[in-house]
Amino acid sequence: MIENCTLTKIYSFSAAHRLHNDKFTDEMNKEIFGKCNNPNGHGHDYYLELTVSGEVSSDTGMIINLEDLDVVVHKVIDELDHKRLDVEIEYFTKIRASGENIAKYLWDKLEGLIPSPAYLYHVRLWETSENFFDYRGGQ
Amino acid sequence: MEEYITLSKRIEFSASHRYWNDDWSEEQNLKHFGKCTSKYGHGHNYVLETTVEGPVDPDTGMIINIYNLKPLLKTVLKQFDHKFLNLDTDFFDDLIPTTENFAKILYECIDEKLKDTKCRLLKVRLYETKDLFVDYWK
Repeated sequence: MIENCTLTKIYSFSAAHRLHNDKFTDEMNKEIFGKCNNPNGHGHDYYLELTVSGEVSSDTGMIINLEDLDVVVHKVIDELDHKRLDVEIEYFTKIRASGENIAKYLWDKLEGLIPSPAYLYHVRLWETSENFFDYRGGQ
Repeated sequence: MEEYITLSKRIEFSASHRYWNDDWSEEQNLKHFGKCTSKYGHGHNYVLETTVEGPVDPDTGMIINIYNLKPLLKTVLKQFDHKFLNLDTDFFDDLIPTTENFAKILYECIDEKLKDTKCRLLKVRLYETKDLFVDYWK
């Protein structure tokens, strides 16, 4: 299908994390992850820019009903909101809670939840106002 | 590699709208559109982001002079700015003025206006609010 219309909504959640790899020595962790290796973690206000595509319904004029979208997105991001990701979220106890991995996690969780005929098209995760991560699935 | 540069111009305008499908009962309309069914409409400060592409003129260093692009966009937006989209324009007689449909209408109006220029309309991005936008392209 050739898309020529997308809808994007921006959501936010706040979470703490620490970037650390047990495989590395403390020195290496400090060298690689710098201040993100702070033992007690640190936090961000994350902004998730979620883009969906699909046919615009002739009945509603919409790709997706925003209330339906909000329900599924909140189901996923509320689990992360106000949590220490690498401690309280099992997925991130095994894999670094980096911006890249969080973007991928959000894509993987949300992809199957978007009510059809709409489908997930793109996620952009802002970690700060200066860093963002884009992911469009494992194509 | 061929040079690929785009130019985008943002313009803010304000309009009101109402979501209502005449083929549906009031109950169905409320179910799908919620408070957007409010009888006399509600408004937004829309931001239209227009992106054009084309060759860079060696004399001016520009794809299109913004002094020319801006009035062209303003002419298009004049028919929507400070209007009730459902009643004060002809575009939404049989079309619900959702952000998706509105972006498509704006794309078509701007595309038509750009026909006499050397640049091509690549995309319009229409922000309904700062955390909600639609992209439309062809």
